[in-house]
Amino acid sequence: MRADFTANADTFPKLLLINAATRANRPANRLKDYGVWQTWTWLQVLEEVRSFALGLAELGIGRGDKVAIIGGNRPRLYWTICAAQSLGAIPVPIYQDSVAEEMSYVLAHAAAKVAVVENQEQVDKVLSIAERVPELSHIVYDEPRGMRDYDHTRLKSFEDVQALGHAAGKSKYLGDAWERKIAETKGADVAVILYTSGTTGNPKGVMLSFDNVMISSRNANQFDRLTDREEVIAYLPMAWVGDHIFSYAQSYLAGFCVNCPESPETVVENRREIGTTYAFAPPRIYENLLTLTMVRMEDASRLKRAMFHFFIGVARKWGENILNRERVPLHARLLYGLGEILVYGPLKNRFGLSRIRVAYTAGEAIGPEIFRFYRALGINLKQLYGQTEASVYVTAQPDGEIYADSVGKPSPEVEIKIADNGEVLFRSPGVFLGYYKDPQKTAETKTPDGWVHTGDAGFFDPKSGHLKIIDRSKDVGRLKDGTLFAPKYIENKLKFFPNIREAVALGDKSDFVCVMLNIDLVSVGSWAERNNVVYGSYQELAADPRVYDMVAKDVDAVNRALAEEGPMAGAQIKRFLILHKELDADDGELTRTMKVRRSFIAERYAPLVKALYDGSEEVDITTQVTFEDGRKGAISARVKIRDMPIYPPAGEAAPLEKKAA
Amino acid sequence: MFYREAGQFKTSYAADQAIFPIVQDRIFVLLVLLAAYIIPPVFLGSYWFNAILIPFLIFSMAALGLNLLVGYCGQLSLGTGGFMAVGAYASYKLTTVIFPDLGMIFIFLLSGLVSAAVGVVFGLPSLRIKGFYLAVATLAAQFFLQWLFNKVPWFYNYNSNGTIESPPRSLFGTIMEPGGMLEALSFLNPLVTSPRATPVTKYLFALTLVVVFALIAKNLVRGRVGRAWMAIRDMDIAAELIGIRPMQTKLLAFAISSFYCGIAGAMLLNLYLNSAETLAFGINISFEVLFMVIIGGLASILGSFLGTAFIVLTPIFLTNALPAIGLPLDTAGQKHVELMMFGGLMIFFLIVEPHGFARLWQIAKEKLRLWPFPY
Amino acid sequence: MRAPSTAEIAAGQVLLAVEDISLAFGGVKALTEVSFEIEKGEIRAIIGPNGAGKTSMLNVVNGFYKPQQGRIVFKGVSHSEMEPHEAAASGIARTFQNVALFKSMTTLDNIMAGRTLKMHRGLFWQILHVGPAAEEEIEHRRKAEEIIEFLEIPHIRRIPVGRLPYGLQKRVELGRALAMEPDLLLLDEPMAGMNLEEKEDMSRFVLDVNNQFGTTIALIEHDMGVVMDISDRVVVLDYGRKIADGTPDKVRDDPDVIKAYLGVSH
Repeated sequence: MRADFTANADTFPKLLLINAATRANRPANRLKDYGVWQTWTWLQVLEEVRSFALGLAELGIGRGDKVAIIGGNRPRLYWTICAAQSLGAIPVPIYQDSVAEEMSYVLAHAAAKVAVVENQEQVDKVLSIAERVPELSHIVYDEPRGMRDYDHTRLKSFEDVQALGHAAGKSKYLGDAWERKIAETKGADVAVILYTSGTTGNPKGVMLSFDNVMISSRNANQFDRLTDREEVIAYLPMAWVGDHIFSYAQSYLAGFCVNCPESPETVVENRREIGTTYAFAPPRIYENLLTLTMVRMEDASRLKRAMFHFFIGVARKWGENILNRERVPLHARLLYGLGEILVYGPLKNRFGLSRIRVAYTAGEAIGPEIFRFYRALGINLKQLYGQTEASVYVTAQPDGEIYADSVGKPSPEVEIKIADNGEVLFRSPGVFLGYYKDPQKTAETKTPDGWVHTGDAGFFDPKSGHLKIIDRSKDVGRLKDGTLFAPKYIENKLKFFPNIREAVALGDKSDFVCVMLNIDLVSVGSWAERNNVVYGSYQELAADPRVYDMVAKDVDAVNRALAEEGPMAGAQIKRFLILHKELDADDGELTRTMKVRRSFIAERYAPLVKALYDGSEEVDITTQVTFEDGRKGAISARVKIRDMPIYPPAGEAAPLEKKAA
Repeated sequence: MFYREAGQFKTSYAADQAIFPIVQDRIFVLLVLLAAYIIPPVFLGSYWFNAILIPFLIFSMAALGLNLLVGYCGQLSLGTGGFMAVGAYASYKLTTVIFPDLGMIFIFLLSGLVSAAVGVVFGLPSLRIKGFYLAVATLAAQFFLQWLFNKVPWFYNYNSNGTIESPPRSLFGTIMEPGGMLEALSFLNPLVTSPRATPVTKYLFALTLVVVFALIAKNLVRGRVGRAWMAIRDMDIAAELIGIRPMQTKLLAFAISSFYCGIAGAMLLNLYLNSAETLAFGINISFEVLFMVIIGGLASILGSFLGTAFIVLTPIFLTNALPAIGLPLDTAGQKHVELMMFGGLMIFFLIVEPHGFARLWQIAKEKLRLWPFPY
Repeated sequence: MRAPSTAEIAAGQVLLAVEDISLAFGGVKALTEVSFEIEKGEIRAIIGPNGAGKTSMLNVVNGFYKPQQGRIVFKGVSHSEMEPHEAAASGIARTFQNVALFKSMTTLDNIMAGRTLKMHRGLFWQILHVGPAAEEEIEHRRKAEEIIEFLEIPHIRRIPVGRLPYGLQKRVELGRALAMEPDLLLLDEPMAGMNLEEKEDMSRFVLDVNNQFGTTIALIEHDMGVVMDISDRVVVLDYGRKIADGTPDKVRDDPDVIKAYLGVSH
């Protein structure tokens, strides 16, 4: 193994100097531009960063100044991060799609002196709010298109600034003046301010030090054994902590190449060209890919479709065992090998994941079926749990210990404890310095001894020792006997069954848990067709006893699973019903982003709720509805209620606190 | 299915514009070439060379030439046989009278040039007329050339039977033969023509010529010249408007196409027939080569080979297949059945895939790249 | 109203002068004694009712039709008649009302074909396709890619244009004309048959071409809104005669123009 020259560097500009010396001709960045992948080696990146940094210095940027970065994933914007850091200035990446209002808040709050933006669109946006940010002296743009007629007194192109820096490098900053500036940067300095948009109130600026970012990232690199041979595609917003860690910090530390796609529309194609080895995507991307696969295969010839489904079946049966290097019978291995040639290999090729070593999903729960599909194909998809305040890594799944419903074990050097109300707290070298200009919020989130409140409730699975996140901690309630009740956790478990479209779990301050369900009309409808069940409407199908039987099996499976899960065992579903109408955003039952509005529903269907808890077998209800054309009407129905068996909790409850090794 | 393109990215235009940008294609072509150079010489007998491989290569050369003209430049020609005759007669006059010491490789190239010059002359009508009318004009060229070589005894050296013959000549000529300037290189200078040359030598010579000229054809069509041809073919008014000169472009296509046909004619005489009359370059040859191009696929280098293979191999296959299934026919009857089946097959293919084999190949390749998805 | 570009500030120079042009087919007069000037860097619209002779005018300028009378002075050089490829070589590019692309060629090849005049390597190098010809090919590929990026069509780079929707074909045709780096760009109804969004895109591209490359543009257009928005000056033709010439505002209020439009089509 080669010596790790980077071990002593404590800031990214220092790392850049080292990479430029030890990996001078290895690729550092690529950008698909003008039809081919333009490549910059570490040495070239150093030159680009140096001239831009000196140019920024000429614009008056110095220690402690803020440099805003707005735009898509472009090498120059990544270089800006390092250039600013080399001067002791602090980069502030801002979401490019944020509205002018939000952008002006962040720019003004951070008091950015220079904004480095991608193109005309961003220039226009920043110019429109410029008077609200008095500190802002210059706007630098990457893409010169359409900029010719602009007033260039406060506006400069990236090249102009580099030319300025180049000239200054020949007169003012002779020799190693810039390198000496870099030497002044220290691990404890603020490396970056990342604004997180909370659901309420203004965004908060999370200050991360070099130490925070570097220790977290170095640990992550070691955890997944990343080397300078990795290829990643940078396509998630630069202002999001994940991209900052994956596409900047981990790249600088391991020395691997970050590839920027041609445009947001060509990410999939560009990923296929590059063949990424390390990837991150939120669950919806994996979901969409799977849906697309299934839809396309529906159009394939019968033979091909039959072959596809046969081998996917083989993969679902054996793939995960093979990926986890378990013992499998020879015939299974041979079949899987054949499937690799005929289906899995080509499929991974189409996904651009042929060479993937580690793929992560995080952010929200991923459907176990989806998760297992990718694992079965031999893609090492894993889950992690992270936060901006933690420099991403709180927990991650180690290779070979993968569960669809956990987020893994504490990452290296991370301590985790679970508060009495179920909230997850952590302490790690990655813990943020504080919220910028907001000591009060900092104190609310971070305890004096360094523990951070995540705002998420979770528990350690007694069997695997993995952390499971159940819900936002403010949404977690308790049954009358004090048992934890996490409605979203139960609802998600139910919704992962294809027959169940929506679920509303009730139980806070009650004796037991009940759920109200919507069946999935597509899935149950096709079952009805196959089994000659005649139905005229959703309401009719939902009331069919055979549908109740089918759904009861799913609910039962959820109960069995809950029984295995320590603190969740007490919150099994005692009674359920299938709603007589589909929950609808037009009726206010769902938000526009399709989340259930639990309290509104409980109120609207009060008779149903009452019946659930008073033990009735069925109940009559009339509900006002809004039709698609806007007319109002009412539907009446007799809704049946099912009782479900409850299982005794398995094993001991998990210890509430667990420390990393 | 076999295409695993993930990770094959291009960092330069040179790589992006390579003839075979996909690694798997490069490997495949390399294997085919290796096989073509190694397998026949080592494993196959002279029947294979004389009946199948050498004619295939010669007609591939003609098909390549005609495809440049018809497929890429859109100028229909029925004069292929005539231009091949020019090449053959030129090579005869050159070897026997004008440059008796010159190596065969140079003779071939010169014959090509003569043919190219003749091609330009008969391409002149294309400046005024298009489509069917042009086809008729080239047909006139075909008949005129055939008549010319028959009527003027100078072309066959005034010999009594009116045939031309291939004299024994080496690859590079006397300069590499004992007593020549480059005597030391004589091991590189095998005898390539006349019945005394071995079929293997002839085959390797023909193969090398075809490989080199296929590469040249590909280079032409993927550059400025090819784009100008295709522009003229697709929309001549617009082509003129972007500065493409119709006259130069069309005449260049006629010249280069005739060059290829001329070499093919010289090859036909010197590497295959050994002696020939004008009949060997008749109108049926023109049609056969045109069929090769159409069945193989217009505007496709690969198609030229596929079409030639089909037209050359199918009759041979039928000749061997009919007796094998025990059809009790006399030779003449068998010939008739062959022709009928051959015609039927051609009609079938043109109905199933009017764009030729190359298009089928392309579709298959596209399917394999998208596998397992249908689109 | 947009700010004047540097190209416009340097303007005032006459790039093309149409002098006293008359054109007839048999006995039918298409153009009668038409004269106007196009200044360097401007966007000049040619409008008029159907059959007013607009397309004939463009055909005269780029050499398709030979006028019976009058002359064209382009960049100070007088031509009484020109071959189309000569017009191309002297710096005039053109798009057509009904799209005249090379349908079986890809977007990239169409645009590369537009660079034919700029490519000079001879047959010998073309055959080898290494060395100078390959270098030239790469150099021009880069130019073609710049145009592809400018027109925002990288996703259709490798698609034969015959398979593209109409709006994109128009864009590729503009790209092919731009590839010639013309001094004068003639656009024959660039927005014909487009929906509103496509029209807006195309207007933006026309303005950007003028602004970014300083290209002088003469365009025929039916959509008066577009004409008023993007053109600097307007020539109005009716029955082959010029009836008005001036800024969009002036032309709009001209009684002859109103009469011609009201009398013919509305």
